[in-house]
Amino acid sequence: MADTSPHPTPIFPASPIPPSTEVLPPAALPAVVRLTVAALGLSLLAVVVGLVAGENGPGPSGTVRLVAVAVAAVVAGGALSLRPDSPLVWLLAALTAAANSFGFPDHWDSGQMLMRVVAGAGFVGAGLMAVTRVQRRTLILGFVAFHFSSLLVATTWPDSTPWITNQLGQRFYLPFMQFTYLRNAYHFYSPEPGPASHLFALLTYELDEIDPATGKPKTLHEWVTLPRRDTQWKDPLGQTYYRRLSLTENAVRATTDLGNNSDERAQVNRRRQDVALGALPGVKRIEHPPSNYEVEFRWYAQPQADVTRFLLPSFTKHLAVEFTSPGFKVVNVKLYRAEHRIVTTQYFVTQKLSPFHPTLYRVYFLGDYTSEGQLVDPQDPMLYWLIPILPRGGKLKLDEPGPEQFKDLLTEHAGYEFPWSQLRP
Amino acid sequence: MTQPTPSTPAARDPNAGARYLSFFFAPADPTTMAFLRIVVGSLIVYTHLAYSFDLSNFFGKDAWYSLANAERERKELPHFVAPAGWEDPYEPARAAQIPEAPYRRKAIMAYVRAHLGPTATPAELDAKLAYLERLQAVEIDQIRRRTVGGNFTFQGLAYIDGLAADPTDRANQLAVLVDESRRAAMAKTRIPDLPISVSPDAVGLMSPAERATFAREAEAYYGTIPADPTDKSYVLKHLAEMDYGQRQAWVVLLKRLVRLEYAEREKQIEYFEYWNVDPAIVLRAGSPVFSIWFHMTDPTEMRVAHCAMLLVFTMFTAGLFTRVTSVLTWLAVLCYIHRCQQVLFGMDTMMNVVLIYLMISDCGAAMSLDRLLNRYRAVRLSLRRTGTLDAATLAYLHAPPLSVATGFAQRLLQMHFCVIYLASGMSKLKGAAWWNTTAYWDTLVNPEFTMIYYQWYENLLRTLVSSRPVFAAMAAFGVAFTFVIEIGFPFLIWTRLRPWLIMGAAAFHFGIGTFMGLIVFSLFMMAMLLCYLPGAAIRDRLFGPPETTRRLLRFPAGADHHHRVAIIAASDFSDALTAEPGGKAVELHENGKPVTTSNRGWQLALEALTALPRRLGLMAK
Repeated sequence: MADTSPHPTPIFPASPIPPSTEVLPPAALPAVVRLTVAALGLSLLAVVVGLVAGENGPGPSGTVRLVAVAVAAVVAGGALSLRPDSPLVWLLAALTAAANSFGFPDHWDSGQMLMRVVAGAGFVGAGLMAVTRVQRRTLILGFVAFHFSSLLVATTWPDSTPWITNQLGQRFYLPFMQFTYLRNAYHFYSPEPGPASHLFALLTYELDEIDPATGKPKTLHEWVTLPRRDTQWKDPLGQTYYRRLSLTENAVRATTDLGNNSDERAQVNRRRQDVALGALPGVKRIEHPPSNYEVEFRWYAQPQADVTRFLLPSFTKHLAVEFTSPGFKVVNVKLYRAEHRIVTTQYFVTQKLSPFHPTLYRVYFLGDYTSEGQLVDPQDPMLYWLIPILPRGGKLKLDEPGPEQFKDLLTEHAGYEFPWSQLRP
Repeated sequence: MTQPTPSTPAARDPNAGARYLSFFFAPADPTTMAFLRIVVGSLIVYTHLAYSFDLSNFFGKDAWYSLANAERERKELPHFVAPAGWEDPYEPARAAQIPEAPYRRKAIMAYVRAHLGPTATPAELDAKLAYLERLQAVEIDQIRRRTVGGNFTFQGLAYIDGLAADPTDRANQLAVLVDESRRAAMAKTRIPDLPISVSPDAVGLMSPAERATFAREAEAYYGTIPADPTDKSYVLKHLAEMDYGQRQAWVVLLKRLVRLEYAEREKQIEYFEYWNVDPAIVLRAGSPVFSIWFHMTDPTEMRVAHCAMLLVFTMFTAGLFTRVTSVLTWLAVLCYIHRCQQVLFGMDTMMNVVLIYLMISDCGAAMSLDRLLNRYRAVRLSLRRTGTLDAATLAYLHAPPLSVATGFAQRLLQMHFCVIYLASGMSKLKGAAWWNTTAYWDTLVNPEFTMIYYQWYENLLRTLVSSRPVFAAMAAFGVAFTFVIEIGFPFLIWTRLRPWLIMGAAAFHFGIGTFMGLIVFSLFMMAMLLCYLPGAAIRDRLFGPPETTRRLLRFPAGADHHHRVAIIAASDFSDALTAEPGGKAVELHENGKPVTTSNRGWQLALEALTALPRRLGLMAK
């Protein structure tokens, strides 16, 4: 029968050596206290400099204060590490942190908040050291209970959140969970593993040269895709690549439901229909897939509000900044997200379908943006609609992707040929 | 085997409380957490070194997630809580909502601001909203009576949409609202006929006097609607598409805002527009997060700060001033995490988890530069105290002292690891793909994560899965193994099966790292598994049995030689050292033969280094 005790019989004996204050006596308390007082003095100096200088923003006095609080924090922490058993040292370290919260200039407000938290922890530590061992351990176990119940709250947070998780989480645990970044629900690959996504961006550059034919600056276009293994895998374990993959995953969070009967939905459908019919002057015709194709080829997927309002403008502005170079100014970013469907085993085996075949990408248009991240036309008729990449003849018996095997409406919509081969060079 | 009953001695164990307390507070060998520190610290150094390519891209002013957005989010992000009681569908909803389409949002916010200008008063607002409120009152009254169906407010808003812009035409239309018999006559007031919408059903429930008031209210309400036909449509459609409770929330919002000072009102309207959340329901705005990258955007300053943090990580990994650098490492890692959560993965979660427990533990007490320095100090103190190496000092040199903090942190990490596995395993039970085993395939060939990017792997996979029974067996085994590990581990790890579970979990993460591409994540998970190993096991496996060579350190009496003796003793990890005062110089003998005759410290250090392969890691002792 298995041993269910919390202490299974050890296979290897632990070190038999108990802590020895004889071998290494702790640092003398007066010396440690003097060190902590010095740290406190440095913190107070930062406060005084702020008061005397009369400024709370960036500037020489701000720099002096930053250096002072940083040194004070490290010195106080060092002193505490020498005598963590002393309530007095804890108290002085907490006071140092409290003073540091005032010593930080106002434009370092997150540092002020951090120091307030550290001060709170310091005062708690002082209290713990001042009580008996049994009391201390009991209080610590109370915090352990708090900590693990916060993990329980985090693991039950994903939709649909239980009422009690919502109440306890929002009212009680969330600040702790946010501060310590312990919000993960640990629902890895669940409920099911899903496809990853790419971002495709068509950049329009304005050159310094003037086009004699039009009298306007010449323009160039370039497709930028992420993530890309061949160019964005810069370190041996691919951190630079996976960070970009995370960016794209953040841009494809669940979609907003417009409601089937809403006026907005009706208008969105009408505009798409006009494009399919070629009824909008100056807008390229992007046909609807024939009815024998799966219904997903007609999907409309508006990303969540935080994505459309904050993330995508930020992404596009960043692209404009990153890719602008002397003589080549990015003036426009046309953005798409491409959900890369996982090839089914059946098609992989029987049809020899490549996992990177263009027909496995579900491309959605995310909008045309200025270099400042401003959506050019929020009523663009193709905005958030799927741009079909269709197998010709409705068959998927393809092992080597080629333009003759699929209809590339992405290229048609963007106006510039999309380099499918670069997805797996 | 008989189970203990309440009357058996086991059930009445007076030390049960103490035993349960010792579950958390039993002193532990710090070697385990120290080894974990080295492994995790190395991964942290690597992970953050990789950020060097993208410092501005991820953390700069114009990063992928711009500083402006991150700043606003950390200061203003609304957090609100579900109602404490049951929500009555026939009461106002908790908060008004703005449509997401930017053009609609713009129209709605212009409508809101039109109601709430600098000179707006509650009385004026009441007059403007009277029409809407009357319709809402009729609607809720009829809903509660359950006598009449229909949507009275919807009809009323459609009626407003049909009113003419011309004041005379509109007056004629409204005249029909008061007296339906005048419809034909009013239609003839214009050529061609004035179109007059069907009066809302609510009118049928009103007295003639109420109808007249209602018409005046309709005129007042019309005045608040945008003149632009498109904006007008957006506003009316938005109100019409809501249910009673949501619409009433708008009325409540406007009436609340108009009572505020204008500056505060504008502030709240702006917050409402940006976050689409009524500030009144916000429990907490912003998040308690911090980062140096919120305040430092100059590229040169960023590089300097980044290098400083890498230095701290390296010191932590090497175990230098570990009590301080462990805290600094955790705070520095959070600086990266808090600034740009859009680039994070599971590895960052695990890095943070393990760092928290390493920080609590005494992970610098073994396999560290701190330990090396402490060994030196211990020898010097012993020499000063006794003139030789006393028994306590030799015991201290033999192995690091047990630590309650380390035992406590190690136990918490073990428990946390179980929570991670249990949540991960149980959440998978919701997915059909895990039941029908297709999840195995989906994780194996996900093109962005796995090695399917490489043609040779694709070819290999084609061969492997060409036989359906073989593939089905692989998939079934893969899924079953996943569940056994993730759900079984938290329960079985506390039993004698622990070694098997650890090996199984290590194999599981090796598979994830190899076949699913999550390399660094898997390395972190495998590192976390170390927390289940006893320190003695780590020492034994890393460094083997004690050396058989006997070493004798002879040194003359007097403090002049203490420094040199301490260097030799502190850097000798053989466990075979004995000390003996005597002689005229510091001498080290191995099996009776002198191995060094030099008195110069640097030469001793050099010799220690040349013997590094043998001595490496014996710092743990």
